[in-house]
Amino acid sequence: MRQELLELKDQALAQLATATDEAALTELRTRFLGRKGLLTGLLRKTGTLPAEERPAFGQLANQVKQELEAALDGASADLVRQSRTKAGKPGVDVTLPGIRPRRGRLHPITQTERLILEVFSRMGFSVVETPEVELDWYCFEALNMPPDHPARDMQDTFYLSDGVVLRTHTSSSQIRTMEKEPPPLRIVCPGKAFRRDSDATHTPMFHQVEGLMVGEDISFADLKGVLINFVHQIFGPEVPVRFRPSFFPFTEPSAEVDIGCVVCGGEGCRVCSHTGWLEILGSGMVDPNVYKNVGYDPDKVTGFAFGMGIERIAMLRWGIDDLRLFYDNDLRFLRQF
Amino acid sequence: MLVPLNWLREMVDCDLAASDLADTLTNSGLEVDGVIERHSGLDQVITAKLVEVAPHPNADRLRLATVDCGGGRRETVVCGAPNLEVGMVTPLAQLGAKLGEDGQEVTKVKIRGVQSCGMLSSERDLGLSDDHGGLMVLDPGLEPGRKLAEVLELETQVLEISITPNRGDALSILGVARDVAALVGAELKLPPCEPSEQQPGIEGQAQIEVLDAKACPRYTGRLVKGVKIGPSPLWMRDRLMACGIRPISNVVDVTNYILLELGQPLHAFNFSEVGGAKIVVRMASEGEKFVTLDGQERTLTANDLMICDAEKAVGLAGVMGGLNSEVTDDTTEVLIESAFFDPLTIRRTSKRLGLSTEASYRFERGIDLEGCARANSRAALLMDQLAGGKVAAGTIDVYPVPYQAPRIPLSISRTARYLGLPLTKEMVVGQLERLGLTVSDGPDDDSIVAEPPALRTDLERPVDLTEEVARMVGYNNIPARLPQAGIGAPARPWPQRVRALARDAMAAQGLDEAINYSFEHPKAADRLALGAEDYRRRTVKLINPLSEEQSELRTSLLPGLLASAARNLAHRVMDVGLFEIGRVFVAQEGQPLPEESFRLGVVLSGLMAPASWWAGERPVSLSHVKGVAQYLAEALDLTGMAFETGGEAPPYLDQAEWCQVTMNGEVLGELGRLDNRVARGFDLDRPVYVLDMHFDRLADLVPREKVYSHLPRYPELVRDVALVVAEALPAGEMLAQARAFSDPWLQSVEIFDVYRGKPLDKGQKSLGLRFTYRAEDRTLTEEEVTPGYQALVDELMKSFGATLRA
Repeated sequence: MRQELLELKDQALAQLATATDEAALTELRTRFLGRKGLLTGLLRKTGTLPAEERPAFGQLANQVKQELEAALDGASADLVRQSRTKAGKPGVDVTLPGIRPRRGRLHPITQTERLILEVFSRMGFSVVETPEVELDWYCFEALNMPPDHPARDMQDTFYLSDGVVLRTHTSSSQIRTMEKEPPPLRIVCPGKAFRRDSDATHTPMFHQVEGLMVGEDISFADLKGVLINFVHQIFGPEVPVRFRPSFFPFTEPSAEVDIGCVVCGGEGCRVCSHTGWLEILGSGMVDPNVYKNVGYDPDKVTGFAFGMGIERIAMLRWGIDDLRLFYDNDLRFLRQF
Repeated sequence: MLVPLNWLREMVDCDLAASDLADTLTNSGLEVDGVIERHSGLDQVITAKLVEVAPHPNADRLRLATVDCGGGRRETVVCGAPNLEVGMVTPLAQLGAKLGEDGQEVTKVKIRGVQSCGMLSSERDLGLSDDHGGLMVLDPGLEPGRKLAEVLELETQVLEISITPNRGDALSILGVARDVAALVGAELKLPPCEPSEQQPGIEGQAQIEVLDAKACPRYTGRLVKGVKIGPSPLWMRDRLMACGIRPISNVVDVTNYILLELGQPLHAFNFSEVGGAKIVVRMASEGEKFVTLDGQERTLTANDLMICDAEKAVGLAGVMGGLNSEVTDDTTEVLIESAFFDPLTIRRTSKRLGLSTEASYRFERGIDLEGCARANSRAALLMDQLAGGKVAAGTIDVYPVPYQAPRIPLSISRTARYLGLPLTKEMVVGQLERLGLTVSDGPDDDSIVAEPPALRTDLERPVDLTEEVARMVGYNNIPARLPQAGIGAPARPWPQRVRALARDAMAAQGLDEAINYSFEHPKAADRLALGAEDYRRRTVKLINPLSEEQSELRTSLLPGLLASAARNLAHRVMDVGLFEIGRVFVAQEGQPLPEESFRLGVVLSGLMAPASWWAGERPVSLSHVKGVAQYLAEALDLTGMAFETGGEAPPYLDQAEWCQVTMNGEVLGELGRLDNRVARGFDLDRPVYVLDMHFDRLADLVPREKVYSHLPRYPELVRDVALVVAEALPAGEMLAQARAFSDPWLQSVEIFDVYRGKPLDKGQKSLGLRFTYRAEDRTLTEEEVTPGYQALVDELMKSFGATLRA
């Protein structure tokens, strides 16, 4: 009887292999597995076996039954798949592009500004915005640039009236904030700035992010720590950073921050003028004269300030080689970001 | 500033290669922008000794010169120069040398049938001067075969350095050498400054009187007689040219040379033109006229410092000499001025006249008060050596108040804390002394007192010394650490958050963000056809704009957006959907600063969606721009935004296709189709829709909080109706009336269809309305809803003369 059972299985599988439609499968299922089917018929005869053989036979019969059911289910699924593939369901063409609304893009300046602010926000800096049109006091004088200071030559200024300028840097935000708030402070100030300059590498309007941290015993080492952390978050932890002395009237010591050229990896290329380094931000310890101008006690607080051009960072991030593209609003440009 | 390397190395023992030196300087604050290679074409030019001259077989004017090229090598060169002389040493441009401005290569050629292996050269051939009178004659003792550039000690490498405004002391070769010496620990070597004095003393021959000691704290004069004006020697000309200064004559070149070398601007007066043999330094009188060396007549003010003789002005102090006392070819007696002028005085004069010179640039930044006399003596020495002058004994030195160094206290521990760097007193003292400061002990163990030399006008306060210490340690040797601070981080201010949300909502609708200049053309208001009283005409004007089109600040975002749209159309990008959120500036009466407020602008043109396989193309329409506003309202949780017609449209909008955007009765802005004529004014020749809103006002209305409402427990019941009405009826009126209908279960009314065409008559349209009913406490039945529904439909039919669509 065991033999009979195995033959039955082989027979069923052989017939299954030649079944080509759902009807044939149904017929097979009924013939072998149905209530009056062959397998069931065989099972009914279990009682004719000696008692000690019955459990083994029952087990085998169950196994055969499961095997046949699985084979029938599989064949049925295959048939469905084959028929779909051959004919296709009318109206569905998965190769057509999907239906979707067009997504607009934020300006690359906005995207980069968000990235920069996010990094500093994570370090506990809050975001402050101040006017684009400024009084001389906020833009220059309180920043230790009295009238006739040679440093004013570094920045060609747009004047609106006597003592009113388009801010040449977002550093004016430092003064506005310190005048209002007592130390300690940790702020970043994004915004537009203006200089009377227009060529391939200068536009009369550009964007900056200014930063300021003031408190007790904030040191040059802290300045380095914060800015290195910033650079590593934006450009990756392997990028080398160097600090070199420079001059800004409102910081002392002042430092220019360079990163290893992200284009050539420091080998020297056109982008880095073959120096292997790219200047990305200016920084320094806040000059005591600035504290005096805002009513802070320079013997009690120290701190650092920094400023960077958003366009500069955007250009390095995406390899943009023409500054003027940022203000043409050419959709072929804007839609790349 | 340009610093030739040989010159620099003359003053400091430093054999670092140019690139290493550049790094050292850059890392200490003198930023080297690059190393300029000069005379690279002279690489293949060597010294050659003429051993034989023979006539050219085929040309009378040419000769065959055989030269010894060193190492036993001889070459024959065809040469047309007149000064061939056996035994002379002259430069030979060998094959491969690249000469002249265009770098033409010397190749093997046959000249009139004779092979020439190189070219014997004049100074002009080699780009060293304009002299083309004959071959350049070199010292006959020179051994042949040596590189010409080396023999002549030409400046082949020049450092290009950016000097920050605080470092006036570094605006000279000496100044840079001083930093190099301090950085690498080498000795600084001052050039010789002691002329041999062969003439009777200057006292008695010339007089100097300073009438304004504040503007001119020091004035020194030296007299050199018997000079013979002529060209300077090659080495000096080469160095001047390496620094970008054109050689003129020996005497003038010496003054420029000293300016570059020591940073002390000098002036050489033609002494015979100095009336009364006397120099008087005084302020100009108001309106005084003076002709400077460049031939320009200048009108002066009482704030300009003048150098005069007994009768007349002879120089504009610190800026430029006068034409009347200029050194000319006939000059034999020279009075050398070496003075210190007040930086601010010079700066004001230079700025006012728009006249910046090498001299004024240095005076403005402060020169070495203690170095005036030394520089003057060095100039006299060189005029003796190079122009055959005889130097009168002594210097007139009007220096009423000698330099007194400020005594700057410095706490070592505070400096260490400020830098975050462990420091010892010995380290600090050593660094400051290397920079030429005199250091003594302070009142306690932790402090010192430092006195800077006169040339370091930038060192006044302890913090200035801290910077010097940091510079000498090297910024890159200071540790980096993250500051200790409280973790508090205030939330972003509300307006910033709303702006960020709004930008995202605009981009989500498929609009791209534009950023336009804050500048505007003065004609912008006219282009928008704005009325005379429109607030957007209250512009702020720039005093010194770059161009007319950027001469005012914008009062509206629209002109910039429309120009951006036009630029895209010009590039054949026809489907434009741009938005901008930015500030505009409106002048405020009686206030120095304009009102700055944020606005939101949108411009749509072309297709909102291009034709696709699932839908036809959708050209932009009023409904699209209105939808932009409504989507934004939704994104910002603003309820109650209304769009009102009636009233007068802004002049730049089409009177038939526009509406005002309001909320709670407050006007937020307008939207609509741009008037055709206005559009053409912006080079837009197709339908354009715009939205302009006062963003700050909008942001103020954005609710800061939301409260959850319970989800409905019972299902809603929906009834539709289609009503045929006159084409002219605004759908919104029917919608508004339906929504106002009093029925406790009516939750919402929406328009789901607008139909025109058969079987409707012309002049008719069908509006499909969907009513949604729901009760809070049970499931409504059709029977319950019907009476209310019927009453509403009846009312609408009655009010608007509508009929049920069959």
